[in-house]
Amino acid sequence: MKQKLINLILRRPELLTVVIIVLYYLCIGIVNPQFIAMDTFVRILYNGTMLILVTAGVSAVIITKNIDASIGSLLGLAATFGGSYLNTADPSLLIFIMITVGTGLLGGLFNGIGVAYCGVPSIIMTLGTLALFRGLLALYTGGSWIDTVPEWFLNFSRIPVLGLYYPTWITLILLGVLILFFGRFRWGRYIYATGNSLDGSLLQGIPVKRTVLLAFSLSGVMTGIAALIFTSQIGTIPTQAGVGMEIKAIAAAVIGGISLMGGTGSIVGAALGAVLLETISYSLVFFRVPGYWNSFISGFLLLVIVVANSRIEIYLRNEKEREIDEKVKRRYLQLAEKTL
Amino acid sequence: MGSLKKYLLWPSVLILLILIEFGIFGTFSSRFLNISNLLYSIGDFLYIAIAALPMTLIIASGAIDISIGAIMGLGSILTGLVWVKTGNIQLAFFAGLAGGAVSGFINGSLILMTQVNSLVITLGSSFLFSGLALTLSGLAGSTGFEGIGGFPDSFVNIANGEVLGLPNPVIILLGLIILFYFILHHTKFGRYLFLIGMSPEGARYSGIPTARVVVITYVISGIIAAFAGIMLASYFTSARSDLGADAPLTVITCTVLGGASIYGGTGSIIGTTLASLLIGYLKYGLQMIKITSHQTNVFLGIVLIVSISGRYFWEQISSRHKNKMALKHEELL
Repeated sequence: MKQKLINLILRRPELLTVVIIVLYYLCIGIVNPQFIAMDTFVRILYNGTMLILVTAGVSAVIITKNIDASIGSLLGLAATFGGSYLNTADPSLLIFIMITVGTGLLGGLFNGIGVAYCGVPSIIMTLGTLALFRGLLALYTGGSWIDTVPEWFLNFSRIPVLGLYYPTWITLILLGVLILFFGRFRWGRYIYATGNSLDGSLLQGIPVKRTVLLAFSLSGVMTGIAALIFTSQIGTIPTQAGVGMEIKAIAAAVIGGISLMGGTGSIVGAALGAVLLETISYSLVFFRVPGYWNSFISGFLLLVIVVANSRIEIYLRNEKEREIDEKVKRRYLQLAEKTL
Repeated sequence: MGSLKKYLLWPSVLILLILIEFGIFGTFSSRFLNISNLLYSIGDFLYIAIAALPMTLIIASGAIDISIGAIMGLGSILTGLVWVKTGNIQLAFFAGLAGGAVSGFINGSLILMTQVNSLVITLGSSFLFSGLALTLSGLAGSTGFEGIGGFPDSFVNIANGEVLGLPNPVIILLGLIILFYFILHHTKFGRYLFLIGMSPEGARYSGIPTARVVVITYVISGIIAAFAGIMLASYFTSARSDLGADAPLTVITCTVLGGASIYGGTGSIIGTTLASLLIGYLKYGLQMIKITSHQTNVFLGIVLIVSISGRYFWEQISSRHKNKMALKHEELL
């Protein structure tokens, strides 16, 4: 029984995240029962859509054993390009979506080409584009904000449908598509294989470079979609749009059980990690914690969760190994008895 | 001979780049090529250049430290806070350094304890440290991003004064470069770092105290980052919690541009120093021809990406050339 449980958690690390989320809810609920309500959850899902989307994107990159640190700037850039198109005389929704998501895709492709075909280590490449994209944004806007988003587009994220808001629905649908893609489709499995063992994948004939390129473009597209939601939810696009998003997304992915060593983790876990981070920041707002405590508390909780997560995992792994050792020992003794 | 050539090639490319840079900026702005100007402008990017030195140690050991920016802010705020509360500037200075050491110790021990990638731990701890700095600056009565000022002249002089015609930043930088050159390239500790970077498992099996080495490296990094933050506070005559927030990107750029591999096992203090000068004067020169700091980011990103991919292609071509030569040699036999 215990063995089965250990195996289950080792295979599906996102279960730990679920446990942590439930525990966190209960802890907050004991202090203030009002926190546990359907409305809270709807709010968290609404606030968290952007983070969930970019976390799903960055997870694809992390699973290939690379990292994407440029999403914060890319989100800002895509939102800026899209937003400035919305300010033209007669904007059409389709072209707007194409511009925003297209910017994300191009940014992701740029990262991917640098990493896969030009031999730049991903952390260097994306730190470089983090600066590059932010600089392009500043060059393009000249430092001014975009704050006239049409009313019809703002309403898009303000009117609930079937209890949830449009951005939440879009996020849930996209998550479903991604889960299918990673679990059932050839290129999705390539992403896991590449991260698990680069040399092994090469020998198997997997197009490793194209797989890495695909992962980065996926991250770019998700960032572009997050930029759409940013424009609709926030309504203004400052030059600082999306700053720090990459840090939150990487943290969420890691909390959700995606290993930076590549090859393991699931999109569900990543989304849950994002929900947990969003729950923490929502609870801080809920208790009206002064703003300057915010990053201290979330940093502290983040470290506690990461430490707890890894300690539990190490413990489980040791436990499993011990169990296997014992099994082998027993079998050996049996054999010895028989032969004697 | 071959290895010597390889050892000297990259630094000479960097020197060439610096000369080209001086040439370009010199033609755009006549004020740029002025010895005292060039020396004094080191104060502008002193914090980058000195923080890049311990970063070279860390990257050589195959790890990374994103939290240095936050530690800079924390160090400067601690110094400011202790100065406001006690009025003893020496105590304040050492309080800042101690804060950096403790931060580094937290980083190192968390990485050891959890076996989680250093990138994640230092990302999380950078939230923690910058949040702490912001909270402390709130305690000192300066709300939000307002600074703590009113430092005595002796403190302000550290980064703004000069000795024997040499600006203090130059002397500080030179001293630290020599110290770190010695640590990385001429001590057992430095060899341990390279070994850990090449193969952590191998290092452990050969009896190297990896845990101790990792923690000490992070403590050094924390102390130097806090020192860089204090230098910033002295240079700007006020301590703020967001001082050095832009540092990690630039510092990592300098280190990698200087020839350290992000996968560990290589790195050189000389290369890092040259790269810091290259980047520092690039920023300074762009400022001089009136390009804003945001737009400088574009150049920074391009320089980083182009130089690293350039090196990759250069290595590809040279190894292909070597293979061809080897084949020819075999045919002759």
